[in-house]
Amino acid sequence: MKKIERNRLSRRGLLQGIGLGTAGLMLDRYGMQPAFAQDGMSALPAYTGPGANPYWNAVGPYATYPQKLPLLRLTDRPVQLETPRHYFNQVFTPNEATFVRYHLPGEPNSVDMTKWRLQLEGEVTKPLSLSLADLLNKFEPVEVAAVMQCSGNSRSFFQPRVPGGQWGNGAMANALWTGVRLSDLIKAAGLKAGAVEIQFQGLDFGKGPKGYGSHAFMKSWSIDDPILEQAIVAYAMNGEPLPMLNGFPVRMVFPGKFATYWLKHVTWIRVLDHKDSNFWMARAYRIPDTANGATTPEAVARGEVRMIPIGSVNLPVRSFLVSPDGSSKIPAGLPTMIRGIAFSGTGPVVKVEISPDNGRSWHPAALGKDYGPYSFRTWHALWTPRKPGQYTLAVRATDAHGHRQPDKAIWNPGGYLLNNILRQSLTVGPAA
Amino acid sequence: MNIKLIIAIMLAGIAVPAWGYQSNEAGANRAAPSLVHEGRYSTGTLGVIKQPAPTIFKPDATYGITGSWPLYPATLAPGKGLSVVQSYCSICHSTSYIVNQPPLPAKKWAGEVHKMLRTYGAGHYIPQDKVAAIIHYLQANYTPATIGHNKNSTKNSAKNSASAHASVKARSGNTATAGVAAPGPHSAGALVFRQNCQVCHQASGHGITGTFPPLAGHLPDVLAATGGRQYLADAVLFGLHGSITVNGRSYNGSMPVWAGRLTDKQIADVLNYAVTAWHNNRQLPSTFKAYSARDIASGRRKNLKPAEVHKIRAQLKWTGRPQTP
Repeated sequence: MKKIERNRLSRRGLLQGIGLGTAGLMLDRYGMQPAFAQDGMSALPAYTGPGANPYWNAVGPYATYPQKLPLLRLTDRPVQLETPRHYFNQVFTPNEATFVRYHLPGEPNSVDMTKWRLQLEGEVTKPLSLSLADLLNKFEPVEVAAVMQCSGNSRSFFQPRVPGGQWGNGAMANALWTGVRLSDLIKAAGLKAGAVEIQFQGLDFGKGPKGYGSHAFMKSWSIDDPILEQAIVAYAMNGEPLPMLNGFPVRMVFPGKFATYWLKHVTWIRVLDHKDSNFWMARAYRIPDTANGATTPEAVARGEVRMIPIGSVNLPVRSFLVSPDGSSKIPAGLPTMIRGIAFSGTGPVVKVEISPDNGRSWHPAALGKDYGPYSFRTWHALWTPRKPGQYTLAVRATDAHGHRQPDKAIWNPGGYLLNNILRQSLTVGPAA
Repeated sequence: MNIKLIIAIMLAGIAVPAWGYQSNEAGANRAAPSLVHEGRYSTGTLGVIKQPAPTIFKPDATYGITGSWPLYPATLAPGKGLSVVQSYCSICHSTSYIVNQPPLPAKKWAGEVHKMLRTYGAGHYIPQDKVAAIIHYLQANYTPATIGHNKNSTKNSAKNSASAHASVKARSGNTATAGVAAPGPHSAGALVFRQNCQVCHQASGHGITGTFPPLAGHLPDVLAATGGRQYLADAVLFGLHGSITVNGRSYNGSMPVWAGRLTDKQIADVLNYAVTAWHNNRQLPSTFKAYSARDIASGRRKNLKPAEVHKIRAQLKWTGRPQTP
């Protein structure tokens, strides 16, 4: 297989290098020297800034947590862990490598399932109290492959930097979610005429005073938002129970939407007769009501920017070059497999292109198996650099509705919606 | 042995070890001029992470993890206001939230603190007169202009740990209010505390209402009680089970057994930290003597049960505020 594919792609001249790259290490443009190994390996710095984070991942150390492989630790109470880059070399992110983001330090340590019930309450004609057995047996199981991406994913690349969890690119995961349709539960409970919004709340609480965002985390959708038809209450992730840190026993899945709405340990589904004014809807996770959510610090300072909930938009189209990651030098003339993932919440990814020359020319990459419009789509391309030198590869994706990644990074005060073209610099040496 | 036999042995991979070894060594040097370096090692610089042991579950209806979520405490820049920041910010979140931020402009830090106070309700917990100290500490250590500029930081923290044990010793003749120096936030005891005790008793030492008793303000009362010094060591070594009352409030969490998890020195260090931190040092009885690893080692032999420790607490003769179990 390898021989045929390699020759075919080689003859086409797909993605051949064009000699010495001119960009050098893209990292330098931020005016910050990355850490380089001297004698033996040296550690990344403990923080990055005030320039943009020059690395692919966040700079936190590896740390081990129950049910998890060593992940990159951002904070330990509440827990925030980032997935290292190489786990994205597969279409489904392993549960034990999936990122973790909590808002409140009351992550459940254990749950008594004889007492746990999913409550459907509020403006419903028949309040429900469902055990996990009820969810498993009384409702039709459905599944969807969907990307769960933290709203703040890639926040550390914002310029100027914004406060908040300083995520690299690893606050995202793709999983096959199995559960029951939210709409089936709502149908069983029956909406009253006064229903306005549906609010979701999980078992994680905080130490803050009641009535504040530091006490409880809740997210809501308008009762007529079409996303409610797509939503599932998931009890399995990649065919296994959810890890505690990813929301055991059930979590919400809103395909194509940011993960802030994907409530973990969801226990209360509350139909409200009013618009939810809790902190996490009214004040947090808000984006500028502008094209692509872009604005400037000046416009924000002048108070000119109208902010809307991040649930108003879907995940913008993104693509990531996962390997090679620059940790090896490549001999000139060696056909090298370039691999990565792409996704979009605004329509299935239809095209991924690779540039071997820092964005001057673009060449199509082959797309991997299609797991549906909300999944990661893997892609690969063979690249044969002909001459030694520094190369800067770039990758961009386009979705079915014609959204294509821009080359320019946006800015907004929350550090949300970044989706610009990313680059990888690679060193090519002579083969002889 | 003829030459054919030797060749046959070599082909079969059965050579006389010493002979084969010398031959390969000489051959490698001649045959591999491409080797720029080989066989160089130096001590690893990035550390290792221990593998977790497998979890044993019971087939019951309780699902989850065994024990606690791990804390991996962040090292904060030493400086004025550090202990205020550690005590108050840690009520709601660990201070890894601070070091996770990029250096932020001074104005942004002030804005972040005010966001915590007003938007997140931290104003209910943080006294108004501590706010300036918190903002000042963050601005003095975590802006683009100030981050990493505390040149004494390494020296200070080394000094803190080295002198931690010595400095806790009370000078005889001290009055109760004269105070005993507290080990710093980088002392060995502080580290043991952050890694093992803080999750329940909190960085502020205030504990959690109804569950985990406060250590701040309470430990001096325990030390003043007859038998209190030994009881504290027993409680850390062997745990404590049963409801207790502290300053009129009851607490019913249970203290784990630390004897198997911490060394004598770690227990001595953490006790010396807790009995002096959070201004406890200002209220210590004048007779207070710092714990030594030897004190803990001799206490360890008693091998008590958590319920027995609870009984010992019940029999303490309180001299200050009465604390009935």
